[in-house]
This record gives sequence, structure tokens and C-alpha cells, in this order.
Amino acid sequence: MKKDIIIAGVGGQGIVSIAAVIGYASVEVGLFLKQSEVHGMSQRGGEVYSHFRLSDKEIASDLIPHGKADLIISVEPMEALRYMPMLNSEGWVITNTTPFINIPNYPEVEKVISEIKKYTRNITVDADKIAKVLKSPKSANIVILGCASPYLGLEYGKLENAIKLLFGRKGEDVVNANLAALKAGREYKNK
Amino acid sequence: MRITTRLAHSHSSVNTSEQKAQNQIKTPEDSIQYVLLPSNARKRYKKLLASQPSLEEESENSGYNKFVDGKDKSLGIIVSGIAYNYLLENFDGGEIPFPFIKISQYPLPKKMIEKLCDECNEIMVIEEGYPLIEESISGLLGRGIKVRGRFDGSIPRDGELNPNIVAQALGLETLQSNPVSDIIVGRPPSLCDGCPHADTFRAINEAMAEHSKGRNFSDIGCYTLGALPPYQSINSCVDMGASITMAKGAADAGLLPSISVIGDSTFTHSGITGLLDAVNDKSPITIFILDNYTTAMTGGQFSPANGRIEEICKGVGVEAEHIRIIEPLKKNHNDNVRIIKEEVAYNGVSVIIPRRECVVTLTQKSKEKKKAKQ
Ligand SMILES: Cc1ncc(C[n+]2csc(CCOP(=O)(O)OP(=O)(O)O)c2C)c(N)n1
Repeated sequence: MKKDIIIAGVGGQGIVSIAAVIGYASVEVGLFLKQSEVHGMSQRGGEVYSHFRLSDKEIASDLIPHGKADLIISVEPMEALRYMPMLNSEGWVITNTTPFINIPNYPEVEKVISEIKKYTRNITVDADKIAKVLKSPKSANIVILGCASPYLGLEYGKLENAIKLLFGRKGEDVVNANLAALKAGREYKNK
Repeated sequence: MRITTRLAHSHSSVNTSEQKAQNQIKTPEDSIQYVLLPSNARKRYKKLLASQPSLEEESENSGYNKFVDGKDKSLGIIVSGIAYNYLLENFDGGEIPFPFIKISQYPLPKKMIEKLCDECNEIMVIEEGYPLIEESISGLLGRGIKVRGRFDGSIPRDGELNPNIVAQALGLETLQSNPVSDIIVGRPPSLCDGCPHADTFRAINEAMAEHSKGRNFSDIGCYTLGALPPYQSINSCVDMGASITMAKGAADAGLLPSISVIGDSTFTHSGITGLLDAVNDKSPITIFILDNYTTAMTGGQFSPANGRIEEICKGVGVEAEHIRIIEPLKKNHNDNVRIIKEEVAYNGVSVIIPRRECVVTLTQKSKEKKKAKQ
């Protein structure tokens, strides 16, 4: 078992939480993992991404080689497109369709989405909308993770455990909101 | 350990074992060991040099530096740090056909390296960051065995390594990958919506518009983003503390007016000494201490001078009437510009404190309050 995942988005969209949930779940089942991310300045509205590698064997490189990622999970459509050169020929891209427009020259959203759809293995979902319906607009990141959940090679229950572990400190409401977001994403994918 | 960017940004699961007890408190037997009076410093340096052979010995034999043999002697590889991970990645974590040395301990293991050079036609050094190992083994003249790496262009002279760069250097095939879509644009970091620093920079820019550019010496913090559009307000950021001191240097050298911006947290770290120096010399500079009540850039930690910045400035000797507090808000813009102009015109040290809470910590606090009420 080996999964190389790019997690992408804009600073503040919660990509660190996505990585943490996958990370906790992998540690629970005893997989090897390596993660490398860009922090710091990028947290303020800049592009952020994380290289995330899971395997049942020891992992060598902290960075995924170009063209070797199995999955791109993105909370923002243009950020998904940015990392396409990382994806392998069998890879899936799973992305939010709600753009985060904080720059004057953001391309036309329809064009971005149609570029993504050129790749047959894509799942595009309006995670912001789903999160709003669930009355927890901040959990769009976990909705996306829910959509990606069948591709991670991890049991769904382990992701739920990881959410309880990660958000437990913030109280039961936050845990439940994120569990609901995960489920909604998973169900969207199954539809 | 040689810390590099990628190493600092990587994590992985680790195996834990029982924590060791803290060492016993023990003062040095030689009570002036750490007193570097010249006479003592000379003695200590001799001692350091005398320990070199045993360190070299350790380096060859400790097991941290490894010589791993390989069949293909056309190339010998010297690799260190995270570059080793990239090397392994290119052979799927399996056997590497070339003999190689993995460096994990200094000084460099001379005998091991000599053996590698004797056996192989060429040497390639793969290391993250500056080519330190490469430079030390190829020497100034680079005569003798051919050493490849960052200097001969086998590996780019600058920038981070990655598995693909290492593959290319070794002449291995790299995968064809998807093209980069040409509609993508860059997304540089920016100040948050509603950030107090933004209003401060707008006011500074207007107040300084009548002077030529290049006079604002800044420090490190969120406000360093004031270098980028749309503000383009600051002209330097070197290290913590190099703001007030550089403005003073510029003013002393005749660049008038010179101004400086520094965050409240960085001010306590290394701004106060420079301020004292400016006060002593009555240097005509205007210093902005950007008080957002927090250490925003590193995640909102406590700011050590919280509530005492004016007192510290007064204590250091800044005249009370030249310590001005402004509230960086759009509605105060004209007043703030006027105050800045007044202080910039003053022929001595002025401190302006733009004071308004960081929007990130403010939102966090209001959320916590809401939760407490529930
Ligand atoms: C010597 C050193 N230590 C630590 C850091 C990390 N660091 C970056 S910015 C910063 C402080 C920022 O706080 P402040 O000056 O109050 O500005 P703000 O981000 O709140 O605007 C620190 C500690 C550094 N750059 N240099």
C-alpha cells in the first residue's frame, strides 16, 4: 500500500487540518508517513500545499517526485490546477469548485474548472455550499476530505477517529460538525 | 545538525521511548573555562585544536558516516541530509549501484573520502543548500579528481533539491508529467483584510510622498509584507533589530528624513538597544512601533512589552511629547498623516505607535467569548 497525496489550498482554508486527519489515521493503523509543507508567510492568503506520503514500507523522500502523485486534494480550484504536473497518469484530482479570489488577476472560474475536467479522473464539488447547508461553513475542507476518503486506502472509521482526536480539544460541537462534513463529502462522492 | 528549509518543514511519525531524566546540575571543574579573556581564549583554542584528531577518528568510526559499496565505479557519490532521501527515492529505497558515502557527522571523514576517490572515476556531491562539502573536498584549485555537483552545473547552483533534480544529475530518466496550465497565476501572501498594518502603510506612504523613495527601514514580522504591492512602503528587512539601527545609520550618513518600522514584539527582542543609541545621538529619525498586541507572524504569541511600550520608550529617553499614539483606521487617515508629517519634521528621535489589535487574534478572542457565553 502506497499513496502519494498533494493537499492544496490558500492559507487559512484548513489544509493543515486535512493533513492532520490523514496523519492521525495513518499513525493509528501503523503506516509509515512523511509530510512536508510550506508554512509561514504563505499562511496569509498565499498558496499553501503539503506533500503527504503514506506507505506500508519505509518512505525515502519527503517530497513526491513530479508525475508521481496518486491524488490531489484541493480546497480551491486554481490551486488544484497548479499542482497537475505532480499527478501520475492514473491519479485523481478532487477539488472544491468555490474559488478563493484574493488577487486581481484571478482567471475565469469556468475556465479553471474546464481545465480540471480535461483530466478524466476528477471529482469537482462545491464544498462551500455543502458546508453552508450543514451550517458549518468552516468545514469545507473536511467535506473535500470526505469526497477523497475512498481513495486514501484508509478505513472510513479511522478518519472519524482522527477527527475526534484532532478537534476534541475544541469541544463536541466542533467534532460533530466535522464528522457531519466528512459524511456529507463521502455521500456526495457516492452519488 | 545542518538545518535546511525542507528538513524544517517535514514531519513524520516517530517511535517514542521512555524520557531520560534531566542531567544533574554541575558547574565546570575549571571555573574560568567559559571566561574568554584573551589569555584564556588562546588556551581554549589550543585545546580545541588538540581534540581534532580524536574528532576525526570518531567521524571515521562512529557509524554515523557510512561508506556503502556499489558495483559501478564510474561514479562515487557523497550525499548528506535530506539529499540522501532523494537519492534513495530514485532507487525505490533499494540498492544504489554506485559506491556512496552518507555524511551525518563532521569533521568530514577524510579516509572514507580518500577511499571513494581512489576507487571511482568521478565524484558527485549531492547536498541541500550551500555546497559546503563540495567546496571543502574540491578545494580552491579543483585539481585532481573531477568533483561534480553545484559548482560544475550537474546540480543547479541555487535552490532546493528534490528527487527530480537528483535523478537528472545522475542521468536517470524522469517521468513525463502533465503540463502546467497557462491560465494559472501566482498568489503571493498578503496582509489580512482589515489588518492594522495596512492602514499604517497607507498613512506612511502619503506622509512620505513628498520625499524620494528608499527611506523606510523595516524589520521582520507580518509588516514585512509592506514591501509588496499595493503598499511598496518598506525598503529593508535584514534580521531582527536591523530597522531602528539602519535608519539611524542612514540619518547619520545624511539621508534625511529616514524612518523605521518595527513590530511591538520585535521591538522588545532587539529594538530597544538601537533606540537608546538613537536617543543618545539625538538622531533625527521617526520610529513606528507597530503595536498589534501580539506576535502575529509566528502565530499570535504573547508580546512581551504589552501595555508598556510608551514607558519603555520614555525610560530609554525619548521625549514624552514625541511619543505619539495613533489608531490605524481609515477614518483617522488624515489625522494620522498629519501626525506623521509633524514627527518626521522634528529634528530628533520620534516614536509613533500605531495601535490596533491584530484582526486574527481579535476574531479568535471574540469566538472564545461567544463560546464562554453559551
Ligand atoms: C532571530 C529571530 N528569531 C525569531 C524569528 C521569527 N520571527 C519572525 S517574525 C517574528 C516576530 C513578529 O512579531 P512583531 O514584530 O510583533 O510583528 P507582527 O508579526 O505581530 O506584525 C519572529 C519572532 C526571526 N525572524 N528571527
